Amino acid sequence: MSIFQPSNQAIISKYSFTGTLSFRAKLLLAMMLVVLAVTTATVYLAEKNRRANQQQVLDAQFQSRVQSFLKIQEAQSEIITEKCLVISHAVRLRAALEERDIDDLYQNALTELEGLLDRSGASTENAPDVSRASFFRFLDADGLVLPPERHPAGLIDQPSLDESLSSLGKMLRQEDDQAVGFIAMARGNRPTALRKVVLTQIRAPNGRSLGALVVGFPITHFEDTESDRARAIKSGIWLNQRLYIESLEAADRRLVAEQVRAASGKKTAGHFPIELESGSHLLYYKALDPETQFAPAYQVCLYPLAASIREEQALRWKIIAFGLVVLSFGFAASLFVAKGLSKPVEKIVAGSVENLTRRKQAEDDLRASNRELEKALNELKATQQQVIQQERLSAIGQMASGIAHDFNNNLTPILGFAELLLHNDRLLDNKVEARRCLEMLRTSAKDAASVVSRLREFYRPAETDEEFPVVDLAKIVQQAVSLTEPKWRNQTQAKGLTVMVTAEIQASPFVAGQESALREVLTNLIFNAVDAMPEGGHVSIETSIEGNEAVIRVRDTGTGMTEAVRQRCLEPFFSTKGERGTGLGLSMVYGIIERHRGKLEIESAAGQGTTFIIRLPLAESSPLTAVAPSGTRSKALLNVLIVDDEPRVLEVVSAYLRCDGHSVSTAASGREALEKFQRNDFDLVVLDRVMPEMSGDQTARFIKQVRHDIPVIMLTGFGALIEVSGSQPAPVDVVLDKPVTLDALRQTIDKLLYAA
Amino acid sequence: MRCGFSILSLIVGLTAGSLRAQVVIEGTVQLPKPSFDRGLNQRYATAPDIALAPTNPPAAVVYLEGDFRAQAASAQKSQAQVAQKNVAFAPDLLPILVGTAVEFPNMDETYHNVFSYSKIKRFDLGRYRKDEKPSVVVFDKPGAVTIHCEIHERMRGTILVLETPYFQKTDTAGRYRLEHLPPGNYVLKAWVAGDDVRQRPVELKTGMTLHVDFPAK
Repeated sequence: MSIFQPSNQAIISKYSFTGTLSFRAKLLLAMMLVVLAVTTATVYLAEKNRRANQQQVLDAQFQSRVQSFLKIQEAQSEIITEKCLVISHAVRLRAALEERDIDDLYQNALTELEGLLDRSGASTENAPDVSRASFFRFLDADGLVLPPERHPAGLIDQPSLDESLSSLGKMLRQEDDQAVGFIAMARGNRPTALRKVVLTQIRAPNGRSLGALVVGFPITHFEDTESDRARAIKSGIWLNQRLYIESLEAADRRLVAEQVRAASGKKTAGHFPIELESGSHLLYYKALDPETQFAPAYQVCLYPLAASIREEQALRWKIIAFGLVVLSFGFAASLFVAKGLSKPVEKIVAGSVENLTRRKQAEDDLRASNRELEKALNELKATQQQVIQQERLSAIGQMASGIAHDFNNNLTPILGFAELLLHNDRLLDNKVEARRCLEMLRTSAKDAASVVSRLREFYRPAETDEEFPVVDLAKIVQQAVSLTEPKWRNQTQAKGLTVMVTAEIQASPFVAGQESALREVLTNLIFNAVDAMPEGGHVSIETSIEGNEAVIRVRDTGTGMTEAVRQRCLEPFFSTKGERGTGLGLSMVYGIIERHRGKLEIESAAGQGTTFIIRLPLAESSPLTAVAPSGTRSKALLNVLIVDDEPRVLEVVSAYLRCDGHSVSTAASGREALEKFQRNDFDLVVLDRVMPEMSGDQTARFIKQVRHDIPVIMLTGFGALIEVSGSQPAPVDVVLDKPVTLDALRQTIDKLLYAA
Repeated sequence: MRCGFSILSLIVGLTAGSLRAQVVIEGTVQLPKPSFDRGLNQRYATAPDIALAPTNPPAAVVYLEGDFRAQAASAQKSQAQVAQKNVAFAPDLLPILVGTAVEFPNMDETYHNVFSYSKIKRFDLGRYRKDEKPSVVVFDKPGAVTIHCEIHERMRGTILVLETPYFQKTDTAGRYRLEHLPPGNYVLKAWVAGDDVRQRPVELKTGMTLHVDFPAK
């Protein structure tokens, strides 16, 4: 172990070192890349922008040059062409032309053109007046020049003029009144060698062409400005394969002319770079009058690129230098930042290897404790729920005092009438009065009994060791549905509603339970469901087995419950039915299910119906075989054993049964009962639950052990409910509540012995 | 004018016809279509109250060419007239014998300035009004004289100065009839325009009626 320890540490430290190094390097690299990318993009954009700007500037310059030229041309043309048109209508000119009176023709024309002609006589090579015509000529109907017989001042222009004009006749079509274009005078390569000519048709009144007037003007060539000269910008006109431009080498001129010819074939305007002997240039060209009949003319402008290239390079170097500075600053910054950032990372890396296991352990612990906490929380929640429930139910104790008050109210007439009858012989003799008293007594007693039964039903503390017979839930459900049928069918039909209650038996689970109580539960739930459906609807009761639980779902399509109602609906005396409800139904249901160690769940939402889910533990065995009496018995007389430690009860019950003609044996205790039972053949046993020595439950168990098919009716009183009995639930057939009435006893006997 | 010639012809016919049988040439000259109006000279504003007459319908002059100096001399003193009426010459085609004096009365409410640059007869009458005395020009050389008005460019007329008394202006359909012609070999010409003169040699015999048509060239 001691041998490996240093090497382990070494590995750790090496790992952490390389980790930190690579992190720092990566960080640095990434930052440098970002800086590089940003700088490159900036430089690129700046360069692009600059180039576009330059292009724009040149474009704009050329356009304005062309525009100003065209504007002058336009203004000039408007005046001149108009004037020429007017002149062409001059009758004398026409007459002279028609008569071929050349002298008259030119003399008359001189008069007509007065004001339009430049008669200074000065050489047109120098500073020509662009608004004045430098010459005029007439063409005859065949387009031939009619040379003047003598040359008045201002008409000479150049000696070779008539030669230059020889091709003009073709330019004016018969149908055109006028044509404007450029022509080159014989020699020279400067723009001043060019003339603008206006050709105007002269017609006879019948439209026949008599000839044409040609007026020539010097080109209003834009003079190279001072700044142009400084920047060596040259401009000129390209006409008919030749370039007329100031001071350009012959070779360059030919090259430019050639290039313009090639370019003009494709587009009427554009620009392209061109390499001349005098350096790189950018050449702009634009057609001056694309519509003309004359040879096409283009304005051409040459921008030397040398200066701009120098400028461009200087700027580029500046940009690059700027980029480098930014780059180095960026790199420095990234180095600094990378170092600063990697230090804490270094620490973390160093620590992380050791901490990893511990941290993992801690995380696991944390997770485990989280789970426990969660569990505890859940338990706490459940407990809280239980406590709330307990709290609510213990409130019943307080309610009991209210019940006791009712009970006392009922006891008062019982005592009163009983005393009246005992102490008043005269009253006893009066049979009518006595009977009335007795009736009152009985009614009061019944009411008292109902008060007690009501209370008892909703509250029975869970007797954990209570023993129930095994019963078939499906059967109970079906019974409950039929027992409640009068209510849900007849009553609701009377109101014009349709209520369906159906039992959906998916399984027939057996549970240990008190049949009557479970029936009560279902009856209550069905009534509730029906009451919850004021518009009619459907109640389905579904039995199934889920795991080791028997499940009954009572589902209605009624109004449902709000969460607040759902929370409180199991509380005693809580009712939503107002006057009609006692508020005991559901709490009783809850009590019964608790007693059966079952669970009651409620699923409900307002407007969506309610589902009560009852979960009861499944019984381990099948139910007892039917307790149907053997067929020998008739409605006639029974041999009944009555067991009760209370002589009065014995007396009353005996009296009831004898009254019906049954033969009755009595036993004051369980022991006595067993003795009598073994000696005699009884048809029925009626026994009290609470007895000294041997309880009713035990007695019943013994009796059943002797004869399992003997019907046993157990009578229980209020006391039995209050004292939590430690005995097993009695294997009895029917449990009757005290005080028992004759009717109740009769019905029970009928049900048990004659129902089959 | 035309009326005058008819009367003249009639007199000639009556006097000579009784002596010998008539020689007559008749036929049709195919005339060009009437030309369209090119509009007024825009230099001068035209008074809006001047009614613009339609362009005169075309007509031609048919004449017999030969040596008729004797007859020409007899017509020395004859008079003719070319009026300016409704901004047009009336008539716009006038055949006359050499030596005829033509009067140019202005019948419009506006000025006219009649002139000719013709080599046969150059003249410029200047401007005058309706109530002023019209100028008279004597045409002493044969040929076609185109007359213009300097002011109204659409006004255009032709005075055809002939050396023969045997001529006639066709009607607008181009029909003509020359009567009382002397027998012999001549050339019959039809003057349609300055550059459109058609001709046919004719041999005239006493009592014949020749039919000569001049189709378009």
